[in-house]
Amino acid sequence: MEVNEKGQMILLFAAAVVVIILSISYVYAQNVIAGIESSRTMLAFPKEEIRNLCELASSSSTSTDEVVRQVRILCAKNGWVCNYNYPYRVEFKNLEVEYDAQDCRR
Amino acid sequence: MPRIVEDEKGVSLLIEYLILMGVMSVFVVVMSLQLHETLTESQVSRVMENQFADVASQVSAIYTDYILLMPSEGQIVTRISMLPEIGNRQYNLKMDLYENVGYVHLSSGSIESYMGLGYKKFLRTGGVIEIRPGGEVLSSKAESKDQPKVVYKKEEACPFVPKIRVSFDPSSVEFNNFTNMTVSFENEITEPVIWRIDFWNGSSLSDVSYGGVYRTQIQITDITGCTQKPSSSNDYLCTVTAKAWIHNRVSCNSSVNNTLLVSTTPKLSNPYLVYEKWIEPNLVRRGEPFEVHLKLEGRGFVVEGLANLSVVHVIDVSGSMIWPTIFKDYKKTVTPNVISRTITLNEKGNLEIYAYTTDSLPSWYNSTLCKCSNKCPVGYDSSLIKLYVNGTEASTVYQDGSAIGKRYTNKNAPNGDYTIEVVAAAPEQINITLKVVFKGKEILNETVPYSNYVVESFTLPGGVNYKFLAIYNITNLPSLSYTQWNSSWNRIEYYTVDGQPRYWEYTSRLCGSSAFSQGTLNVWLILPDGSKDFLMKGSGSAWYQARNNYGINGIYADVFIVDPRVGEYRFVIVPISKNPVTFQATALIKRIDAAKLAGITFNSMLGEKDFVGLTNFTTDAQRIAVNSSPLRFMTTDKSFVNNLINQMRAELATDHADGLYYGSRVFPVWNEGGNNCTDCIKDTRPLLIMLTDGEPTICNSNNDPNKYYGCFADCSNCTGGSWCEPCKNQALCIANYLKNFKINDFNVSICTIGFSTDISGQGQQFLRQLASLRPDNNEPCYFFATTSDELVNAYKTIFNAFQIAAKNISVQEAVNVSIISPFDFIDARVVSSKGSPVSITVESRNESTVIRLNMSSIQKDEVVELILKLKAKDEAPTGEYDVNIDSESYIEYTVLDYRGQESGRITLPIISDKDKVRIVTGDQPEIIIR
Repeated sequence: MEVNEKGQMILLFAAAVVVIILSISYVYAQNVIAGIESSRTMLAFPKEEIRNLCELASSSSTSTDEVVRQVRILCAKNGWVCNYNYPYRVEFKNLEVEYDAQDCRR
Repeated sequence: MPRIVEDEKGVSLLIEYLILMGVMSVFVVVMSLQLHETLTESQVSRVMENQFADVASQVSAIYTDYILLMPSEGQIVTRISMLPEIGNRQYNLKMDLYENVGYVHLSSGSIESYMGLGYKKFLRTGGVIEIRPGGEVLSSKAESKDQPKVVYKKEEACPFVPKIRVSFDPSSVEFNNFTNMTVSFENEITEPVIWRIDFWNGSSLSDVSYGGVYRTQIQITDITGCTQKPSSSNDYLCTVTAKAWIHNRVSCNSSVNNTLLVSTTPKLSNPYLVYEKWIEPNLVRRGEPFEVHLKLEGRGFVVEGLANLSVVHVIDVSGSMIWPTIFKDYKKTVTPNVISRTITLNEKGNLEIYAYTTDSLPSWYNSTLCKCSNKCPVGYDSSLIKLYVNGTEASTVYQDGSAIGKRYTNKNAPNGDYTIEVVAAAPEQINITLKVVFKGKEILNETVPYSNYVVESFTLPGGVNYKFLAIYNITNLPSLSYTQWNSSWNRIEYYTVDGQPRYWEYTSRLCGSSAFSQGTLNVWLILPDGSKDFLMKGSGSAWYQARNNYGINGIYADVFIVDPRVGEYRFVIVPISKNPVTFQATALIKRIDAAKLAGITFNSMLGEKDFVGLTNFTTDAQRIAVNSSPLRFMTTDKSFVNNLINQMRAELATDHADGLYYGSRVFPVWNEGGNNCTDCIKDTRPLLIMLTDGEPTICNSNNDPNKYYGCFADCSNCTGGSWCEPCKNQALCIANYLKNFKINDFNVSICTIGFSTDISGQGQQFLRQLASLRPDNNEPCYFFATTSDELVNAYKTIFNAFQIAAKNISVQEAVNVSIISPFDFIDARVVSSKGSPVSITVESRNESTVIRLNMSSIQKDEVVELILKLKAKDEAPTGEYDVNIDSESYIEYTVLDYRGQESGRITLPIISDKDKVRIVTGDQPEIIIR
C-alpha cells in the first residue's frame, strides 16, 4: 500500500503557523479594546449632574426639604446617591465617582 | 563495484527523511522560540502603547472634569479602570509635575508613555490657584479590593477662628457663694458663632454669639467632678471647658479652659497657681501663623483669706512738707502742620500769592484772655498766618473785609518752580484759602480745612483739697514787656504751729506800658470747668510768683491756680512758625498734698475687711483717733480716714523714732486703756507704711526701759536743723523690736518711702535699714519717689507685694520648632495683667526651641500670659502635629500656705490636650492617584 506522504511539510508548517497565530491573537484581542476606557470615562463622568446639584444648592428656594427629597428619588432611579443642602453643600455618588463638597462653588 | 545497499531508493528516502526531519525540528524549535518572542514583542509593545494611551487619557479626562468642577471645599474620588496586566506585564501609573506642567506617566520596563495635563495654575473667581498633581500606583492594584483612584481634595482653612475666652469674677469662691462668669471673644466675629461651656459636673450652657459679651451669675453648689487638692482637703479646683465654632463649620473651632478655686473654708485656703495652655487657630494653611498661649493665674482668697491687712499710715508732717513737689512733667517737640504747594511758571510776569482766612476764632483770641486786656492782638490777626515762598517769609499784610492773612507780590517774577508754604496758629479747625494770581489770571485758588495744634492733658485726682497747682518752666510763649511785680501778695494759706506762723502767698505782674511780642508757641490751658487760660510771660519770665515762709522754696510759675478743682487739665499747644518747637512744662503741688493723694489711693485699694490707722509725726508723733474704744485708732471705714488725711498740714522738725513708736502703738495689742482689743483685728496682717521727706533731725531722750521698747537715746545735741544720729539709732532699735514682734502670729512689716530730693545717701540708707523684707521678692520694702506719680506707684507696689499667690516662679516651655520640624518661630512675648516684670529668654536647640520665663511673684488675681507666635512652614506636609514637647515643659514655683509663709517648692508639668495643630493645604488643591 502506498502512503501518501506529500504535504507533510505543509501541514507541519501550517500547524506551527496556527499556534503562532493563536498566541498572537490573544495579544491582539487586547489591542482592539484599547481606547474603550477613556471614551467611556468621558461619556460617563457625571459632570452635568453635579453642576445641576450645585445650582440647586445655591438657592434656598430650591433647597427646601420637599425638593431635596424629590431630587434624591430622581437620582436613585438612575442608580446614584445624591444629597444637597443650602448653601452649596453637595454630595453625589455613583459606581465610579464619589463627590463630596462643603462648598461646591468653583 | 559491488553495491552495499540493494534498494537505493528506499535507503536514500529514509536518510533524506531523517535528515530533513532533524533539520526541520531544530528549525521549528528555534523558530518557534524566536518567533514567539519577536512577534509577540512587537505586538505587545504596540498594544501596551495603546493601552497606556487609553489609561492616560482616562486620567486626563477625569483631571479635566475635576478642574471644571473644582469645589472650593470638598473631595472627589473617581475609580480608574485599568487592566492589571497587559501582555502578562505589570505597569506603573504616575502623576507628577515637571517645570510647572502636570503630566501622566505610564511605564513598564522599557516602554513608557507620557501625556501632558497642562499648566499647574488656573484662574478662578477669587484669583489664581495652583494644583498639585501627584501620586502613583502599580497596575496590580486593579485586582485588589482597593481600586486605584484619582482623588481631588481641597480643605478650606477657616475665614477666622473665634478666640473664645471665659473668666470668673471672683476666680476663687467659697462653696455656695456666687461668681460672675463672662464669655467673650478676643477677635472680631464676622459670622455667627456657636459656643458651649461644659462645667465640671457635666452640665453645660450653650448659645449663639454675634460678637457680644455674655454674662451670667452662677452659684457654686455642686463640686462633683472637681479635683480635690491633696495638700488641703477643703480646696477644690473646678475646671470649665469653653468651646466655640463657626456655624456650619465645625472644623473652625477653638477651645479654652478656666479653673475656679472653690473652698469650704476660705480662711484656711492656700493660694495656688493654675495654668492653661492652648493653640489658636488650631487649623492653618501652609505658611500661615498661629499662636500658642500659656496662661498662668494666681488663685487665692483676697477678701476671705488671711491676706487681710491692718495698715498704719505713718506720715511725715514736718515743716518741709509745705514745699512743692513735681506732679507732672512734659517735654516734647511739636511739629507744625504746613500746607505746601508748588507752582511752575513758564515765563516771567507779575506773581501775586495770597494766604488768608475769614475765621476769627473769638473764643481763643479775645481781649479777656489777654493778661493785659488791650495789649494783645484782638481777634485773629495777620501775625498768626505765615506765608513762605521758596523758604523766605513774606511779611506783607493782606486784609480784605473779613479776610486777613499775608501776601507776596513780585512784579517781575522769573520763571521756574515756586514752593509755597502756609502755617497758621489754629487751635481749632479753620479754613485757609491759598490764591495765586499770575499776570492777572488766577492759576490756583484752593480752600483747605486746616488745624495746627497738639493736646497734652493730665488729671488732678479727687479726694484731696489741693492748696495750689503751679505750672512752670514753659518756654517759647508770647510775652508782655515792661510788666513789674505787684508788691501786694495774696495769702492762700495761714496757720500757726507752736506759735510760729506758716503761710503760702503769691503775686502776679502788673500791666504797665507793656508791649506784646509774639513767641513761637501759643499755649492755652483748659481747666476742668471748660474755661481757657492763655499763657503768657511777663518781661520774658514767669507771670506768677509764690512763696512760703518756711525755707527758700518759692515758685516762679506761668500758671498758678489756688484751690484747683479736680478733673482734667488740658494744654492746647499751637506752633506759630513752620519750624518745630519744643514744648515743656512742669506741674507742682504741695508735698503734703501729694502724700495725701498717695495715702488715699492706697486706701482705695484695700478691701472691706482691711483695717486702717493714721499717725502723724513731726517733732513729736500723734495718733489720730478714728474709732471708739476698745479699738480707738483703727477702722475699716476708709473714707473717714481719708477725710482725716485731707486735714493734715506741715509743721516742724522730723523725729522718725517717735513716728515709728506711736505708729506701732496704733495696734490695740499693748494693753493700753481704751485701745485694747487684739481680737478686733484678728486674722489680719500688720503693716506700717512710713512716708517721710527728710532725715531725722530731732528725738526724745529716753533712758526708761519701759518706754520706746527699751530703746535708749540721748538727744541733747539735736536741734532739729540737721542730722540727728541718736534719732537714727533709736528708730532702728524700735524697728528691730517691731520686726521680731508678732501680732496675729505675723511679724510686723515695715515699709518706708522716701519722698523728695532732699534725702541724702545717708538718709536713704537709714530708710532702707528701717524697712522689712518684701514678701514677694525678699528685697527691703523701701521706695524712693520724687514726683507724685512715683509716690502713688510706691504705694501700689506695697499693696501688691502682700497679695501674692506664689513666689519664684520659673516656667520652661519647649516647643517643636527647629530646622526639621514643620514650624518656624516668629515671636514670643509675655504680658502680666498687673504690669509685673517678667523676664523671658528664647533658646534654639537642635530639635526644639525652649522659652524660659522668670518672675519673682504672682498675685492672687494676676494673670500672666505667654504668647508664642509660630508659623507652619511653606513646604510642611499636611497633617496633625503636636506643638508642645511635654517631657521638657514645666512650671516650678515656691508654694505659700494660707498665712503667706513659704512651704516648699513644686514642679508642675505642662500637659494639655489642646496643643495640637493641623496643617491643611488651604488654597492649593491636590489631585493625586492612589
